[in-house]
Amino acid sequence: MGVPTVPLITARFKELVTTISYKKGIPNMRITYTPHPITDRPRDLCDKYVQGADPNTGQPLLEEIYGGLTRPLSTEDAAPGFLKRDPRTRLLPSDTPENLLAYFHQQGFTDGNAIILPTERKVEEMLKGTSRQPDEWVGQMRPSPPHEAWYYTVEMVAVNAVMVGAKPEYFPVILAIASKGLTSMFSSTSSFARMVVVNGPVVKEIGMNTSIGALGPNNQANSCIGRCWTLISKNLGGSGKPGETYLGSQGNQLNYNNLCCPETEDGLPAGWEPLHVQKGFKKTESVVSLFSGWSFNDIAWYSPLPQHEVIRGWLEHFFSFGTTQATLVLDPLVAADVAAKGYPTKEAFAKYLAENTGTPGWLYWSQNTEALKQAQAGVEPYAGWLKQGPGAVVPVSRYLRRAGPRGGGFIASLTGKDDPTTIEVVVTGGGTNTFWSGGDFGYAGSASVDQWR
Amino acid sequence: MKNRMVLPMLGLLLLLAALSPSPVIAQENSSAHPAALNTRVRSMIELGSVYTNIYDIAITVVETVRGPAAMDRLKAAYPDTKTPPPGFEYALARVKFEFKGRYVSDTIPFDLGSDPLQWVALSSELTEYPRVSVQAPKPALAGRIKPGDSLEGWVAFAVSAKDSKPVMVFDPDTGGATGRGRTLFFKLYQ
Amino acid sequence: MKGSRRFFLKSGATGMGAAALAGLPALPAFAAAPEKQEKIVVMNPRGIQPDIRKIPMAARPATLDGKTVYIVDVKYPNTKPFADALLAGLQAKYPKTTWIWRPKAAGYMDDDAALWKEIKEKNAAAIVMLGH
Repeated sequence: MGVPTVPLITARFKELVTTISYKKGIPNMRITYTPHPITDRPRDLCDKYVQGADPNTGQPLLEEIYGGLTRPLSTEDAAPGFLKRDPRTRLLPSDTPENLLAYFHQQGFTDGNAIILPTERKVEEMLKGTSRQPDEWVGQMRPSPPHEAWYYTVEMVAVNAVMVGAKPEYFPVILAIASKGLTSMFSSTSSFARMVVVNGPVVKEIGMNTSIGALGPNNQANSCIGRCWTLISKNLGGSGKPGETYLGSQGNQLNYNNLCCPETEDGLPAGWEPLHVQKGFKKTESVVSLFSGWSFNDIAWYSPLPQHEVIRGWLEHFFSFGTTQATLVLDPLVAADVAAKGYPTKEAFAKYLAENTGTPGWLYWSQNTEALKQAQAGVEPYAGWLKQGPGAVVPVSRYLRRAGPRGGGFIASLTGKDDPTTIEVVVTGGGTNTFWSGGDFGYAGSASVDQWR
Repeated sequence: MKNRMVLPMLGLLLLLAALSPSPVIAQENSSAHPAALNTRVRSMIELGSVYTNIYDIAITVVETVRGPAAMDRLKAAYPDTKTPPPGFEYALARVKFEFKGRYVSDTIPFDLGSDPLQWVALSSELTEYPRVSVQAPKPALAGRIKPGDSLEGWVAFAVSAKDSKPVMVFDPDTGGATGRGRTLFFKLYQ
Repeated sequence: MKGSRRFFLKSGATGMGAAALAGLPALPAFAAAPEKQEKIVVMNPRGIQPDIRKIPMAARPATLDGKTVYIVDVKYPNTKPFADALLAGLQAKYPKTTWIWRPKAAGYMDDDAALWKEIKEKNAAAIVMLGH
């Protein structure tokens, strides 16, 4: 851009910002730090921060900013070129298995759980699960938009598949996930989670569990495939390094397995299409579909109300991060009950839910300050809503797709189809009870498994 | 039985190797290993908003021309072409750019030639040459291509007349692609 | 197995010997020396990191007297009090410089080409702030 610029960042993110600025090509960026946090701080405290020192350097904050904009550049800072990087080696230096395992854990190559060391023989075996060449590109992945992307081949994905104990027959599913280039460990202080749903013939071919405990640690395929996405993200996508490429303040348990489950296509009510068919694939195709969100509820509750009403009520009050999208994971018994109550398709049910849920007052008025001003000024319908009391539900749905800066609400429809809601419905489980799950997950795209066989 | 099969198999392998296109380097391309002429380099770019999708590309530098021969080509196409700055000469590269989506829903096009940073010449020491205002010969490597299409055309640079090993860089963070993709390096010499 | 029982009894490992005598399964014999593992070679699980192309920093003016500096605010939630404090502090300390607070358009990861153009055309400098 050619404009002298200095960034001002809170001190908590020193590691993050120095590594990012190096990777962006500005190794000596002149960064000034403030105390952390500065969000929600009163003005008098902010004045103290401004008149005080940079917590990292001890230099007066204002003088440091001024100096950053006026101090002459060094020859290195002014010159173009490339920064040196150590080349990647295909094999690691030999060592004992014990030492190698310790090394893998220390280097952050794992999720902390036991792994299988990826010898060449084991990787060669894994590669038999695909007809693709080992040196073919699969994808590129980054922790979040400002970060650099790392690149990976079929062989590199195979190394990670061996580590989680996957069988070669799972490998096309893992490759399909990897081909989307979507990290499972998104770098945000808000501890993102992901979900992957598998559809099509491959589910039965590789013995995935679509029945009792489908979402739990009860099946090798369900477990390995979900876990592999996390290792791929850390090792092939440069993600998951706390402080540098992962900032989730508390982290998220869902990152261990990314809610990997198959859809129980046999358990779908008549007229309810499998997820991948909804997204434009043929029923006979094998597909993975990825989702992004934060939280997941497991609802195990009996009610005199019909299931669709209970789900509606949960959606209305469910809150996590903003929450303008939702994915329901229904047991086949619940799906059957809902369909019998007059929802002949998943879309019909999603539409009913979106059109009949409001927003809790405390949430609506805190997020819509302009509407609150109008309400207080007596403008309808806002005034009428506010008269119900600040706790009353406001009849504005969070789940209807609206026009926005990106052309369609929080997330524009990725399928190009007419998709008026941000609610997805998936069916899986063993029918032992009329329970279901749901979370604030939004659809993030699908990939063909068949292309990677 | 085994021995009788070996020679024909070997012959078949040699024949296949001779007939197959130039070797495709998947991983080795870097500033330390720029691709030689007629090497088809495969890579990826990301296109889309919110959630991007990966598209596959392949780039081959088919021909390079520099010095007086380059000047002749430029003058033939555009008689008003100015002489390069003192100490510099023009270097032209004819590039084939292939672009492919992975799934039927991958329909986003890619723009070639719309961004001056997309193709940049570097010296043999990997410092960037200043951009010069010169129109590449026809056909120029410019235009919007759809997934499944390829385009072949010229790009033009000015490099030091003394530099025998300049390098061309392709920056994928252009043309509508998002994020910082993988920079690719190509020799602008034989 | 037989050998290991004899080993325990003979070695005087009375606890283990007692266990053996009590009918519990005998524990395997341990070698006198620590177990020696052979070295193996494994593959690198990491992907390829890209080359890093340097971005030269913009030349600095010797002084900001008479110049304009934009405080570009990415609008992280509830940070306006800090932005106000920063603007006031800079104006008080460096009165010969024009300090302008300007919120960046759209979300904090969205570009604002119009703002960058304006800053460049004014030959100004910039501070980009802030979160969290």
